[in-house]
Amino acid sequence: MLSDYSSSDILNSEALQILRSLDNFQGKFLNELIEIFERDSPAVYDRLVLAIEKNTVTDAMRLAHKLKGMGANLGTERLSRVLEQIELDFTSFDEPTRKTLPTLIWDEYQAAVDALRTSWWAVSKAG
Amino acid sequence: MDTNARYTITLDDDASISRIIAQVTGIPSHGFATGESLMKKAGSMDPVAVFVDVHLEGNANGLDMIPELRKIYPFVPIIVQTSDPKDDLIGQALAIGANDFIRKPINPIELTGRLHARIQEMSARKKIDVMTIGDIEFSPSQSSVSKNGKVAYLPKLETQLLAILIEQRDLIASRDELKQRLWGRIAVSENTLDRKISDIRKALSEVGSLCVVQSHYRKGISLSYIAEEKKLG
Repeated sequence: MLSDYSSSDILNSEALQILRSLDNFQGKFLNELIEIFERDSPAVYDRLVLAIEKNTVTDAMRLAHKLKGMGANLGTERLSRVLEQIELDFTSFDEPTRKTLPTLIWDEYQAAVDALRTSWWAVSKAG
Repeated sequence: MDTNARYTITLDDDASISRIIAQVTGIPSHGFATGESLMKKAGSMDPVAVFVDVHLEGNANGLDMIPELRKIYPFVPIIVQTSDPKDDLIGQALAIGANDFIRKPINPIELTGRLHARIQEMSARKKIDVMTIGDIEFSPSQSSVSKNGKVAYLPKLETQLLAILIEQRDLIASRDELKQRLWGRIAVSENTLDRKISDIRKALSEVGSLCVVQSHYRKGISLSYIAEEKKLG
């Protein structure tokens, strides 16, 4: 079983604020990072799902770590928490739990991307 | 200093990291996704710092690159970055030649603070390392002699021999003393010492130095700077 992560915010507002400050809140830099994330992360997600489905433990843990890191740069708090559990505890999950993981990760991934886009839009509008 | 020429290197399979480092430090960062791609270019690059991620594409480990990078960049800070919660990786990185580490996600204040401290530290180390004699700079740690941008490298024993000759500059060191200091109690022939001297002469000649290693019949060897003798004469 995954431990409860739903109480976490989708995004870490402090991390986002730091990224925004790096280009004086213009939003261009944040947008660039979101684009890199949207460009590179789907391939990692696909490989992670494949590793989970094939029960390739080492790959599943390594790819969960990688996707966690990619999102953590942007403050994807809740997605990172889910992925960290896979990274550290994948071997302890029972079969029914493992089967739910691809959908769970995808839902959190989408929620994170949507929240990032909304956040960027808010910054751009303010700028 | 020409800030346009300054850059860092980032070894990380996450493309956003080199962008974040560049944005935080204010200088470009050349990103490499694999150790192989970095090592192909590293010899021709002159970065102010190198950032190395631990977990790279596939099962590659960025830490494996550190000893090789340290050889290429003896005075450039190598900073390991990781989001891995295991602390032993950091200890391992420091033990094989990294100067520092930063946690991911990157905290800009931590990054700039550590980067500046390590650049200063390595710069101070470099100053101590370089000895100037006559028209050349000699670096024992890099085993190199250089003059006006030309560099020649020496093997280990030749480096030690040149250091002794510089230490005794203009004084004649007996061949027995030199052999004793280089090989200790191991008996070596005169030819062996002569070959080392010949290699040093070759290196000095390659960089166009006016420093000469002179053999003094039945006395020994000395190193002097010809330009000074001419002035005095």
